[in-house]
Amino acid sequence: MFGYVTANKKELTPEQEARYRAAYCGLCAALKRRHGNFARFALNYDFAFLTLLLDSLYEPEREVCRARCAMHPVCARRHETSEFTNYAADMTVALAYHKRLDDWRDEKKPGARIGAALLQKRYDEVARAYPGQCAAMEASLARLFEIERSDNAAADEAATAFGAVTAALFAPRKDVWEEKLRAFGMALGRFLYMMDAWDDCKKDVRRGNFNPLAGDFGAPDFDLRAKAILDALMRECAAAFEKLPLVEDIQLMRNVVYSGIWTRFELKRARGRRREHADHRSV
Amino acid sequence: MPIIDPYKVLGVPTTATEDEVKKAYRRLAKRYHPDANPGDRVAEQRMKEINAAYDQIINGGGAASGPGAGSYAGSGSYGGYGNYGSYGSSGGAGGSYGGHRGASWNDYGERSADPQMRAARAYISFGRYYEALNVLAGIRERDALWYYYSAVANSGAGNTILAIQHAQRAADMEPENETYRELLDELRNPGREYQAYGRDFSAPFLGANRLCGGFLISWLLCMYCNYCCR
Repeated sequence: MFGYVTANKKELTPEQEARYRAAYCGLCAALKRRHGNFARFALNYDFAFLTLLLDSLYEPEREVCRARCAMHPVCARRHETSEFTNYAADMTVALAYHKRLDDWRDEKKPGARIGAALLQKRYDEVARAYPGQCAAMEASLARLFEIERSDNAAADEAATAFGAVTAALFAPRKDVWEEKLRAFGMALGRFLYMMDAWDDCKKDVRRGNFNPLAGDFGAPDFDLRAKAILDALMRECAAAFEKLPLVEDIQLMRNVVYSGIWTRFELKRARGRRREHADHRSV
Repeated sequence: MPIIDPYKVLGVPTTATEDEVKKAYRRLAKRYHPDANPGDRVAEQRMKEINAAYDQIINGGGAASGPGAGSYAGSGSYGGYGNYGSYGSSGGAGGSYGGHRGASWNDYGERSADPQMRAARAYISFGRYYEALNVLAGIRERDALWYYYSAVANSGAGNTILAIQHAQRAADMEPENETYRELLDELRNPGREYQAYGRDFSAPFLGANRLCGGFLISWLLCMYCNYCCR
């Protein structure tokens, strides 16, 4: 995904922050253990959230240890690992692989091609372990590619195609929770797709790529118009989230869903405002 | 399958908070899960009741189950128009989702000369949003009224993004039209649950990503080191 699914750190209690870090460190360590050091490059908060969510829903056994790493060489950090940490690590690799393939196809970035090649073997392993998830991911991304290149690409169709990817990621098992997890994954993916569209709008317009927000680009209230759509999508996402019977870490996850998820948006807008302000002064 | 008292099924008082309901549901779902009781018809039936009761409470007396992935795919499964009749009564946190389908419809533009526009209008008033969208797609001349119809039909079909964009377009084309403005406001702010929760948190801390600042450098450093970071 894109690293948008983060917590609002200012609002975390010390216990919540400790749990969040431990899940994150656990995921990082799992990436190295399962896929080698290179794969750690793909580490991001989106999948730390996936770990939290699945741990909370299924309450699996959690292994706890303290370990040092290059990031934290002095103080050993707490690592919390469950079967879903491993699952999230595998999915991190799968999505990172596809992201690089897409970047290569869309923008011909050589780095992306190299990254994909380095992840190829790892991805093949993951695809063998989770054929359902990876097949869904491949099919949905192919569909998204098709939609984005068609003449009358519709925003909702594209967002839903991406949502199908996250829907598959969020439902590791076929069981009673599957439907609710898929619904949440779908709603989250639709939001993430539009958030990314907002983030990349300038670049897409310049290059003539499809962007569902391109029609409003350049309007003085572009950010507000985009925010209205993002708000509506996140409202749907939060409603799907609240339908999941989550108890453990619920406040930590609510922090992400109701506040942290806007971090990137607020950060970029604040930067834009600062730049505007500076421009005004220099004129 | 309407349930007389979903709270009784879950064994919680009607005053239970949402989190208490979730706890009770988890406990029961574990006990009666089909995997834990293979072949047990009674457990299966009980699980169904528990699921229905939970959905009923969480959806705020709502009708349909959660917005499954399929619902988005434009499969036309929203034929169950009547389900959303209970919009006004939806209360729980999930209420806004169901209620979102089909923005309130002011039967507007009835004197439109274009027979296709009249057809679209008729489809919308019967809640047949996919048919309305099909008709609308065939109309080349797109005025503010077209965008208004499209916004309502898209909203009904679950196309949240296009609904807002087209309502915005209609309002842009005729800024003085109150009906268009009202639709836009409604789509932008259908319920307050999300904001209400959001109020518990302050604006996101700018720089939250510092939690892993310098990660790239250390990653480069430890690329070939296998002594630390197990």
